[in-house]
Amino acid sequence: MAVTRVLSKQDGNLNTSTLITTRNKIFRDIDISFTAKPNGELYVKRDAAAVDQALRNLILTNHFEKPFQPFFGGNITSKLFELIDDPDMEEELVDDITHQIEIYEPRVRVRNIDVKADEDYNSLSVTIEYQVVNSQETITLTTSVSRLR
Amino acid sequence: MATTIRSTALDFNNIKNNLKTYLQSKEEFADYNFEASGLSNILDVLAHNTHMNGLIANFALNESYLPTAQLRSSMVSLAEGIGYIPDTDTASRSTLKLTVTVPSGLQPRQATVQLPAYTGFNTTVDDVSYTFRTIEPYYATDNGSGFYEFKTASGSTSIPVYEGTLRTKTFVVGQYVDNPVYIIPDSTLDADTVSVKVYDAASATDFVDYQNILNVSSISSSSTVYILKESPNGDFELSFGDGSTFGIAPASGSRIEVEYLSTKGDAANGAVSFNNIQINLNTTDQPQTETLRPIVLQTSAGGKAKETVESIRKNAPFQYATQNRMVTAEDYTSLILRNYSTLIDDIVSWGGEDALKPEYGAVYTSIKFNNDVSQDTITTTKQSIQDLANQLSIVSFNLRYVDPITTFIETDVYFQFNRNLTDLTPASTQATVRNTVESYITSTTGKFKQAFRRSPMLTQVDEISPAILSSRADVRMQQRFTPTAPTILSVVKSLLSNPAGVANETLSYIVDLVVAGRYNDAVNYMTNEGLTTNTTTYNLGKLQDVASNISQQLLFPVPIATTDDDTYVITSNEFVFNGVNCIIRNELSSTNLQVVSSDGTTIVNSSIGNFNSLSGTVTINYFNPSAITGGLDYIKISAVPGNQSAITPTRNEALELDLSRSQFTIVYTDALN
Repeated sequence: MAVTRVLSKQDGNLNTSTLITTRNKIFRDIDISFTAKPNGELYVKRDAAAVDQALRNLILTNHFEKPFQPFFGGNITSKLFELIDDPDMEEELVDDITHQIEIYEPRVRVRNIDVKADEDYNSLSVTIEYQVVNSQETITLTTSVSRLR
Repeated sequence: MATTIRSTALDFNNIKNNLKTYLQSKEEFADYNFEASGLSNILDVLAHNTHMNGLIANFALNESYLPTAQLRSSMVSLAEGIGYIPDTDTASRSTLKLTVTVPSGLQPRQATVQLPAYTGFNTTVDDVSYTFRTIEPYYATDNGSGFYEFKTASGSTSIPVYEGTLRTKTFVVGQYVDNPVYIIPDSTLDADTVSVKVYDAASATDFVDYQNILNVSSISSSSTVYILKESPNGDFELSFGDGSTFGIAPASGSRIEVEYLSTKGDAANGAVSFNNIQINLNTTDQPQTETLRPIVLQTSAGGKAKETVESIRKNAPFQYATQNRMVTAEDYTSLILRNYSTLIDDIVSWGGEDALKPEYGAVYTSIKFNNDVSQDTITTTKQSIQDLANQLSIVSFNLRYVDPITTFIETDVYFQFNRNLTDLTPASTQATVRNTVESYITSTTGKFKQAFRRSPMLTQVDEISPAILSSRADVRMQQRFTPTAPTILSVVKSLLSNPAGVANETLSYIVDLVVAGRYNDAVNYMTNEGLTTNTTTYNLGKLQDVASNISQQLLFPVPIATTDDDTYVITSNEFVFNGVNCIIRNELSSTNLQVVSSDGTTIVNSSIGNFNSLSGTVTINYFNPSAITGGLDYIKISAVPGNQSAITPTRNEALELDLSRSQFTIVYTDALN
């Protein structure tokens, strides 16, 4: 509920006005799967779904992939070519992802990031637990990448 | 709020921001500001696409104009559009004297021996081997005793040879197609050595020699001309006329044979000797080879790499402006450079109306040839330029050559030096100042119209070290002349009936009268004393002629300082005159020049000439020193310019530094600033 405050004459406001202290921001993004509705229009991702799509996009983007922003992205794929039994690798990846989210996705409050390297399948699995600002809902995003050969 | 996209912005981020600005006005989407959003990715694609299109449009426009094009292929193409053909690689050229002596026992000897075209002569420059070749056949005739000397068609014994590898390309003309172009896949071709022969059939032996279109002055439907130009990849394309109005097009089935030298350009300059070769004399009954001994008449020079992009950018518009006609003075410069740039260091031309003694209907040109160009080549080049001018200039206009006049700069630099502010020794700082001044003057002068300015030189001196607190410089300009032997005496003797019977004192008296300009007195004296039988008018004319020739006039580019009672405005280096070490200097507060002993105590000749401050001329009269100090064969006359801040040469004047007459003096100081 909006809060109404009245300022004194000396403070320059004779009218009663509503001070808006928060603004409910709506997130709307295009659905990059580009699936069409029956009427031919594209779907729109809203709120947490839009943020989730953006976060997945962020961590799966490699460095030098986005024009003129060479260090944008989680750069997970490049880690596949590091020594998979390197004990520091998982920690470095967590730091990298956290750093990327802080810079490029301010809508996300990270709760936990878990990285697991599977030596047998040469794959990496990343699980991010986060909360979207303006929302109490906690979302878990899991993605994995593996080498083809 | 912007409602339209500004399409002129080229930068990726600007484009993307413009798209975001546009989306701000729309309700549908809101996440464009988050870099990871799908909408941001789409904006990336759109912005990148616009960015690339913008760049391509920019590149395409840049490449469409001479001032901005970057690619050589664009530059060559644009230059071609205004009739300018860029220079190809140019072969280094040398001239040789070629002789063969046939042993007396060899009979019968051929009356004439041929040296075939493209005969090679090997040489080495900087440990790299090169082959120089003739590009046409030459012939030598037996002098009756078995000695043959090869000569050109004009009878000269200087045989030109050009560095390069002989290449031949043969094309057979196929079925008619529009505008056929024959590709010569060689980027080091020298266009001046290209020979194009067209045979009627593939196996024919008779041919027609085609000419480069640049070398012909008129074209008709029957002209046998070829067009050679650089192709976009740097190789060359050969094409012919259209077969109607633009020269003959070789018919189907014809064979085109192109011979040329593929050259190394300037790398082969400087060859001073060539190896002997064996030449086949091909006598009827005793086929035999003999040794041909090349004697180098001119060290190889003139080799040059293909014209650079920047050179094309500069020259093409001027060439276009001349329209291959010599009308303005700049046209002369442009067209002479166009044809002889490999030999020329600098050139300047001006109209006769601007000459020192105005001559209407003439164009003056002064050329500084490269140092490695021989006098022979200079003479022939000047003649070729004259021929070119006759072909391209306005009828009745004359081309006059004027030798470049070099004025040397002498400077005495004084600089305040605090040795506590540097680890450098005074001697090394002095050497650095010397080098800095030398470097400055050498790099900023030497060519026509390049002025000397004192303040930038001193600025560079001041910047050498914080220990140099200030500097100043006295500047003089210097010209040189070779004292001529006294011809006046021989002329006087030629006018006398019996010169051998005339006493030396009498001869000296007459000569002195002439030197003093008292021609009438001299003639009257000779007549009254019965020494001559010539008419008075004749004697007077002869004496006036010789008198005007015995003085030397030096013309400085700027006015000379006015005289005072304190400073010698004109000075010279030391020489021996009448057995005394002397110099020339002006009389204080006078424009009269005197010969005085080097210590300044004795006046050896009280009036050797004079100078004119305003016109900057120094006149030295009859003068013949017995030696010049330092083994020189010329005297250096130094003059203080009226304005020492700048010396600006005009017309055919150029400046150079004379370091040997410059001084660099340290003035020690303890001051800190």
